[in-house]
Amino acid sequence: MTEHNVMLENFQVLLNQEKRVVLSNLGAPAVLFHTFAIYHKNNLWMVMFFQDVWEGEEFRSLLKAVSFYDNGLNLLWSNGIRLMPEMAEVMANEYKTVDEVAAAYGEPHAETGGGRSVYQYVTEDGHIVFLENIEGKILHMFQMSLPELAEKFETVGTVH
Amino acid sequence: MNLKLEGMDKPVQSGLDTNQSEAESLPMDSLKGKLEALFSGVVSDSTGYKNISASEHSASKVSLEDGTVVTVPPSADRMKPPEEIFAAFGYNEKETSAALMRSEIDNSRDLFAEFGFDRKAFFSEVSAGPEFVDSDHLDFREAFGEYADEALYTHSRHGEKCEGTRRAGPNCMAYAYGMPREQDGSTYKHKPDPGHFAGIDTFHEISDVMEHGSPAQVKETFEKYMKMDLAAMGKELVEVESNAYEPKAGERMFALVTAPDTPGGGSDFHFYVKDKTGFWSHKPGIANPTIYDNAGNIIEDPSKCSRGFYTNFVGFYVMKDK
Repeated sequence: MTEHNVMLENFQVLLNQEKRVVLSNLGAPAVLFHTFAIYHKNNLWMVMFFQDVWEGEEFRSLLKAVSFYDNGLNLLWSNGIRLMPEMAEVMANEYKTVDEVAAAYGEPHAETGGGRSVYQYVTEDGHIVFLENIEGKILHMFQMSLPELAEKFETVGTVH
Repeated sequence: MNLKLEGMDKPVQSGLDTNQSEAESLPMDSLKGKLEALFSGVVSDSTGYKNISASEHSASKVSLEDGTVVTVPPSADRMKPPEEIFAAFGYNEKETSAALMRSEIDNSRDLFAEFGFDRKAFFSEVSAGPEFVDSDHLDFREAFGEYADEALYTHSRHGEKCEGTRRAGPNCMAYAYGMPREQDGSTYKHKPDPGHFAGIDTFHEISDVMEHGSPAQVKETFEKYMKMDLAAMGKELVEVESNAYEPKAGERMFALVTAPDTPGGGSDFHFYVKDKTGFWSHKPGIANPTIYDNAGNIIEDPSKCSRGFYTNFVGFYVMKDK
């Protein structure tokens, strides 16, 4: 193995692997959504993105992308996903609809809300931008940094 | 930050990106050989692997130093092109180019390892046996097919109808009720809340009780509106004691949970459904139904599974004809 491809090769090994196996190997994340897991360790942040898919005759929850940040939330490495630009740049725009945001930055990275609808994007500077919406019309657009998210939700967002 | 955009007008060359491009353009055989070496004892790395059968593109058998044979997943035996890697989020060509963005890190740095990623343990875990839902679990497969039907969802992009972009459709509650469409057969214009099928807008009331009410008040409020919903469908709601209840013919069993506070702001609710095979499944928002909990495990009991922000378990219920 050549040194310079170590990140890419690790990513290729993990790509399309099952969520339960990945989480078992890495341990409990700081925050866990259905779609992504946020880890904080050794002054680094890692966001892993998962999707549930039919694969042949089997139904699996698989790793699709990963992004790394340092403690200052500078992006170190990312693959499999188009991150939003820096949070401040995004929030400066007064988007009215999810379509407008999707046209500018691609489809949302995740959608949470069993009953509610909240789209999420992860940014290049370690924030998550939330788009609370009804029928695609944005009701509320706001952001939280990875540390803020972990501080607020670490007790409920972990694997249990 | 020191970022670059590959495929843009003026890419800034960096060591890692150059390597990335080279790696992605490697011939399959070259990469295959490289990965075989990676997993084989030929390379004196710390994993201790020795190759015993990695010559095919099917899953490769690898024996560890202790004699344990593990299976290298088929998905790990070849390098995926960017188009395949970035396909998960439905990007177009322009967006994929924009997504090939990196900052410079030391070429030898292994950030995965810094988070504790251990190849040997990983492949041992993979070889321990996958959990999956196969054709023996027809109940979920049928439900999945029904709720994955794109015709149920409003799709738009740039304000126009398109494929692949969901904006509205059946949510967790519609899935729990077994209602992929509105009662009149039309598609949902927005996610239904409890009370929706009785023609009542409860958005603010249930938000308020989830955020500020006691668990008893949450339960009382949800049960009131669920009973009204089901009455409008000619059905009734009965609470059952536990996860162990086995739904009878004509019954649909579900579990209700709520989140008093979510990262998305405000509160939320969520449902899980028990099918006739004993499997639990749920529908996260307008995503497709799934049998996995937040941690990626098959759900055995929604009152105990990994639910993330849905910390308040309300109860188990069955709906049945009056």
